[in-house]
Amino acid sequence: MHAIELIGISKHYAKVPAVCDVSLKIGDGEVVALLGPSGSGKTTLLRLIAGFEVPDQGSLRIRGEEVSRPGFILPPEYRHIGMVFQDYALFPHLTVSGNIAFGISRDTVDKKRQTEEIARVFGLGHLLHRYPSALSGGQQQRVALARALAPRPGILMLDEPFSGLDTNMRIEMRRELRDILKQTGTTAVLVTHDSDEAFAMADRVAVLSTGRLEQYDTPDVVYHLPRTPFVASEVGQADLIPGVVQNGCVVTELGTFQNNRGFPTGKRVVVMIRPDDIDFTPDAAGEALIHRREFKGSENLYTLKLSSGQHIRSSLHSLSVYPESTRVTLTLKATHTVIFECER
Amino acid sequence: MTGHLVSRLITGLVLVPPMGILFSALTPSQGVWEHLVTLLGPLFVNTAWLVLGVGTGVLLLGVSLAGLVAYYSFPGRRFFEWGLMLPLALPAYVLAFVYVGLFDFSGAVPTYLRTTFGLQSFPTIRSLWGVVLVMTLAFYPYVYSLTRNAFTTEGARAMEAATTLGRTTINGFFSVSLPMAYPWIVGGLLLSLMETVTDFGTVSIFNYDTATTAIYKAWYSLFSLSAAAQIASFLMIIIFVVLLVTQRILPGHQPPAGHNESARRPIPLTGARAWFASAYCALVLSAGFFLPVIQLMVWAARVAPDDLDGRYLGFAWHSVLVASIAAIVTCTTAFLISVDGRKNPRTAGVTGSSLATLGYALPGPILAVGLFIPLAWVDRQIVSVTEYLFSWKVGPLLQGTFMGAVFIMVVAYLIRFMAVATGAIGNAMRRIPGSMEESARSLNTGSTHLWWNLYLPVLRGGLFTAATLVFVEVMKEMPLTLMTRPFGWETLAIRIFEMTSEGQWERAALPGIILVLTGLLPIALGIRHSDHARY
Amino acid sequence: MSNRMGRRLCLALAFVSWSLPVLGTAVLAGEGIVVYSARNEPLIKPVFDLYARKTGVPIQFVTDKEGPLLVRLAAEGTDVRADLLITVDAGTLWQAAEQGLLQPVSSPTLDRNIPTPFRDPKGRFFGLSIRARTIVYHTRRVKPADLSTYEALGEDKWHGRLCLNTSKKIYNQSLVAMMIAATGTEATETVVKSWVKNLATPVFSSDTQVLEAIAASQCDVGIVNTYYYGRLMKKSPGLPLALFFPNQSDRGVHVNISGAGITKHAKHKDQALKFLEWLSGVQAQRLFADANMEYPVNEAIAPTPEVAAWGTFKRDATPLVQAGKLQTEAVKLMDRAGYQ
Repeated sequence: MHAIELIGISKHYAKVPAVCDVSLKIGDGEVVALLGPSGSGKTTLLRLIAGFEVPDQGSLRIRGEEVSRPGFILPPEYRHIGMVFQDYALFPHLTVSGNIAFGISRDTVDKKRQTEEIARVFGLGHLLHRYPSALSGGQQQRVALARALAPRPGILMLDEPFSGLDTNMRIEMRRELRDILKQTGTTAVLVTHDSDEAFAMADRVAVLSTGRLEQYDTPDVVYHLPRTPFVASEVGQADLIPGVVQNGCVVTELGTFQNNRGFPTGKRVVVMIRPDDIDFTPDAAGEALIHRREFKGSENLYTLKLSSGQHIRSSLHSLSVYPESTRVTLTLKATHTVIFECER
Repeated sequence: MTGHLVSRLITGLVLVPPMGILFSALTPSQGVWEHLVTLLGPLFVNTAWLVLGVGTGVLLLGVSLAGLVAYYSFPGRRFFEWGLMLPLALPAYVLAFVYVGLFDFSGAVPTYLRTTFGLQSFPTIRSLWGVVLVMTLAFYPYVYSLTRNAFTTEGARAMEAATTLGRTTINGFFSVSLPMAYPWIVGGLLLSLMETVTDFGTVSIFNYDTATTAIYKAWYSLFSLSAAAQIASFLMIIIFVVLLVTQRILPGHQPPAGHNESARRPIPLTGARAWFASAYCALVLSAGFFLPVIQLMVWAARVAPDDLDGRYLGFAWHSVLVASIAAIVTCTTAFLISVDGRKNPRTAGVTGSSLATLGYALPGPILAVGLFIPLAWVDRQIVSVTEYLFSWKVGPLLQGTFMGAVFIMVVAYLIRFMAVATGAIGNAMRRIPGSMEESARSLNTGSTHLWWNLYLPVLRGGLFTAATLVFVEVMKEMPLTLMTRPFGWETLAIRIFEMTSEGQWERAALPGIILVLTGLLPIALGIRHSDHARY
Repeated sequence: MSNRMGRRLCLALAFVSWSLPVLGTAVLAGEGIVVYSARNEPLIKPVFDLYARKTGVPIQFVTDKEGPLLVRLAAEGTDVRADLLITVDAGTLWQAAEQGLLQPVSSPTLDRNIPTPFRDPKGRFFGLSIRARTIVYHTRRVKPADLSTYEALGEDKWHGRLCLNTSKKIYNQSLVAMMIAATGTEATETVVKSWVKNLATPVFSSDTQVLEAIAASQCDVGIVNTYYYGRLMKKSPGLPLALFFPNQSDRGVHVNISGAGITKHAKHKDQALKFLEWLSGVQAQRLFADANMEYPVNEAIAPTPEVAAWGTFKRDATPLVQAGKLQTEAVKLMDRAGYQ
């Protein structure tokens, strides 16, 4: 039994499709990221799961029970799904402990103790009597998480929960939250437009584009074997090198690749190359030229210009520094090849 | 900086009448006070009952209706959303005489019940419950409009959060929406209660004596303005203390800036529940608006052949003109004061904003006198100074000239209705996050630019609401208009006074209905417009 | 969007600043008579218009309640705008006179036209029309023979049958003041208490309501001003109501006046006096009294036929100054007696 099961879900707003025929199964205790640019329908999908929207088509099962279909939704309050909003939506009239205790069942014997325990887990023990307006952004975020997890919902929706935090805080919070989710065995759906965040948090990533599900796989599969050029560029930097199928191989400027998708001879295709798939050494007789170098801390990202004028990126160790306009020779170190049909 | 000065000055101006009244109260009132003291006990008890009744009534009606239209959809909701504001166009005293005319023993309804069903005993409307009913119907829109605003903006997202935490809509309403809306609900409640406490017209139609009745008894019957001023000051101080205390108690929690774009859509009601919701809204609106309007039309039709003439165009024009000017002036001023209060939170504190609303805490005629006495004094000084300097006799400048009188009239409205305008604008102002201001400033925009391009467009909704409320209030205002108007200046409200002063209520229905119809347009326009404003 | 808003606001402001001067041109010339009136516009405007047409002297006026008008006169002091104060009762005029807001004038014409009880002995104010306050009864439920005096309405046989207007109305205050003048405080208080005991329903807030309540048999008798009766009967002639003139064997029916006085610092005193004299004359009296079915104060003029049809009666001849002097006492007495 899956924790969440979407079967052919569609949703339109005033005839504009927001979600198109999405099917998705999320296992118990799994953390899934919905990744896509703004307008890709990821938030709508989240709200459909939470029960704020009624689907136009398809159905939705939670813990094996059908909770949404056209014309019917089980209201959010009966779904036992926690939710963390992008703007946190803390209750301004309640203290931190009031906010956290809000969702804990009235019948719970040790409501106070449970509240304090969760507050402690999220490092809020000393702030219990503060009002949200007196908290920093990071603290508010923790309250929002603590509040959503306090009723032990089993399923948690996270709508870009870290977007209001600075980078360090964000990385720290991701790690903490993932630990807590795994410890408690909570199924979670995270909406994000940041692939790093999706990879860091999720067991599986669902990439969405204009309401359609493009790919649904583990982070490394999505990264290394993207199914479409859109996914390829959404989950990391990628250059698409044109080539043509000849003698069962794909011939490009960078060399020949295995025609692993069995395209017919003469077919024009593109090969995806990620910056970490390509290495280079300075060589006065090299076919490429260093066009630009960006220092990224742990690495240097080079943009190389091939003789055809095609640009390609390569990341090297941060200590490998070469001046611009240096001639270089390229080495491919890819263990697998990703080829797409040429769109044009 | 100049804005700050101007807003200080205006706050000072607003304080003139209350100070004048406090000053008049210092004069001893021989013999009168001793007599009044014997009456005041029961009268204050009557006022307390009235406050309790009307307070409960406007809360029940205002909050339930606001919640219904904000969170549910049912047949007619789009109309009720703004239609429920319509009773604002009816002055409470008009509603009162319609209700007494319809439901008193000799009125149409009991007479019908007697002749058709032989029903003899019918509870008399001229009693506490009658006044409470009429005032509730007249004043609930204050609570309704402010509360609905709170529910539809910040309340929606919090409601979503509550439902994901396992609360039903009803439960979430009581545990989240309602407490979050407290500042707005209390704001509306205070406005309606200030109207209730200082009202004289309505209670006198029901002959229900309150503390304000004692003010008029002292002044009109015992000819002691100072005794009247003493009671009025006492009432005013009580109201002021209540205002201060409520503002201290309510933590002005900062609501998040409006997130309208993904706000929750109303929950559709079906079947009997939907019809019950529609019927409830329709019932309130009929009782507070359609029934009285129909009765007014019937009466007006009876007297129209004799009374209706071209002059009514002039009355209506005067009403609209002066109400428009007053609305613009009052809202501009309230806007200045609100922005100033935001820029200088320390000096323009809670006390300051309470002081600025004191004009609403005095009965209209008392306020008029409190303004008139100092003005007449200033006028006399101008006259004697010019006479001394230029041996040139001039007439009184302020009251003596048409422009002077119009000026005074507008100032009087400004003082009285400041409370109404600052309420609506202040609420809108609270929704501007501080960061918005800072980001505007960081773009190196001048101060003027900030006003035109930040505050004004962002506060547009609040300004429209404020302007509409002030417009309608000025249209209805009687004692201030009577006392400050230029010679020969007649408005619809004055016309109602001319008719009712000799008890000719049916003839007053003609100006009454025209007043209501004239007030409808701005309500429909203003309220809908402020709804459609994005902030 | 902000631009559109700005443009709209500018337009609105321009409109206002444009309309004000246009209105400003409507400023009336400083000449003519200025009147502060507590008598309402429909009743005085025709009289003012007639005078202006006949003499070319324009009359400016504002109407308001008595209280605010007196405050206004007092506040304006020597720079008072009004030349003439018109009220609908003697008590207010007496109060204004006592506060030094009116000035005494002597005029043979006024003395001749207005009987002594209806003007101030010191010449500070003059009655212009007479308002009689009398008993009204239900014609099928009350025999006129059962009625005699105001005081008799306190008898036990009227228990639960009496309707009264509120004591806050000046009409009842002067009625009780004149009762005090005639019979003394103690006797009056006993009578007022017995009225309160006999009330069928809480007091009303207008004479018309009293009449309608009697017509609907909510009660059987009441005390009203005659012109309210006239007005109602004109509208619905079939009502089972009739007037009874009480106290004919002693002091007579209580009457009050609608009257006027010239202000202390009047700028157009002579013109105002001429106007006042004209008001007491035949033509004005017709218009002034008949407009509201009141009795003309000038005895040379008979009331209109419809008013005359109610019958003739003996009027209380106690000088109306008493109503002013005793008003405060009357109010306090009614409060003590529990008359709301």
